[in-house]
Amino acid sequence: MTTSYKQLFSKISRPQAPARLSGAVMLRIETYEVRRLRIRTAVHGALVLAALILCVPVANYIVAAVAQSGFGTYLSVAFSDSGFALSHFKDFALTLADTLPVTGTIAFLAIALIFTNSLGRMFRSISSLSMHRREVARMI
Amino acid sequence: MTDEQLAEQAKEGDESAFKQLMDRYMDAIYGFALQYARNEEDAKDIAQDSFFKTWKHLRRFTKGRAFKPWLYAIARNTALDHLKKKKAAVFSDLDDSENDISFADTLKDPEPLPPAVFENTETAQLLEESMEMLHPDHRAVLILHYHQEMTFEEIATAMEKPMNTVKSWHRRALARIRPHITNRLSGDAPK
Repeated sequence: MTTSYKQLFSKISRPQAPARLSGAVMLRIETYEVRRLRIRTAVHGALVLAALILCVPVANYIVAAVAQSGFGTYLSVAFSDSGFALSHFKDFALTLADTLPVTGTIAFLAIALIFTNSLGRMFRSISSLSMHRREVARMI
Repeated sequence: MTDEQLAEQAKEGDESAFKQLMDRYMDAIYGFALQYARNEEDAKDIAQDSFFKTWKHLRRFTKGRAFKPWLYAIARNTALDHLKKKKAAVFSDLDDSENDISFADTLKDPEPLPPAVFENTETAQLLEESMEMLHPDHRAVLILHYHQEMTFEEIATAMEKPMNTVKSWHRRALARIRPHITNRLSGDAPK
């Protein structure tokens, strides 16, 4: 039964897609990519800018916190009298850790991470964006 | 290279791999879209949308899955959305009958076609005419099975329907086109 119907269906032509259809799909894909990469670049650019802006108050906060907690003083002892620091290393290290402005340091590291990460992604997006733009221009 | 390997490469952003997939399936998807749209302009739009959606959703294509039925599933959904938008989907209750499978299952397999069918030059035209009477999904099943040589299992995956539904669609479609062709060739009025 199947063979008989297979033979029947072989009588109707198999339609062929218009020649430019694949090109139209690729153009649509490239245009979509350009739009997507523009948004990505803008988002990462905004993050880089935000990280830079936030960097200033956080750095100020760390400087003030270091001065207030005495961390800076203890740290300077490590350089000026390293013999004393080494002989009481355990206590000295604990004191340093204790006076470290933890919140400020974590905030600063997070901002630095966001900055470097977003900067890298932004440059990659810009590079892909120009590639896709060239491709769109070539297709049009 | 298999479709699945190409799809994996395309997923990683390799556009040339996606182009190869398009070259393999463009005619088939266009032909499939024609079963729903019944005009070249809409079929072009459906085929274009289907490939664009395929590319956009490649991340959802998981390893171990067959690419071909997945692509057809996207194409079918795109075609149905297109028909809904155009409000052209006026299907008879009898044809749009996913729920009366029990009735369809009682149908016997259509008998083989008489040899005269294959000798007559009008057969192709009659077949095209009789295809017009069918529900787009039923038409698509016939094309996928006889033109694309897809198994019922593959078609069921593509149509996102149980295999029994697909088989009953196939039987019912053949049961409808057979008398149309044989009656016309024997000189009777079409039913």
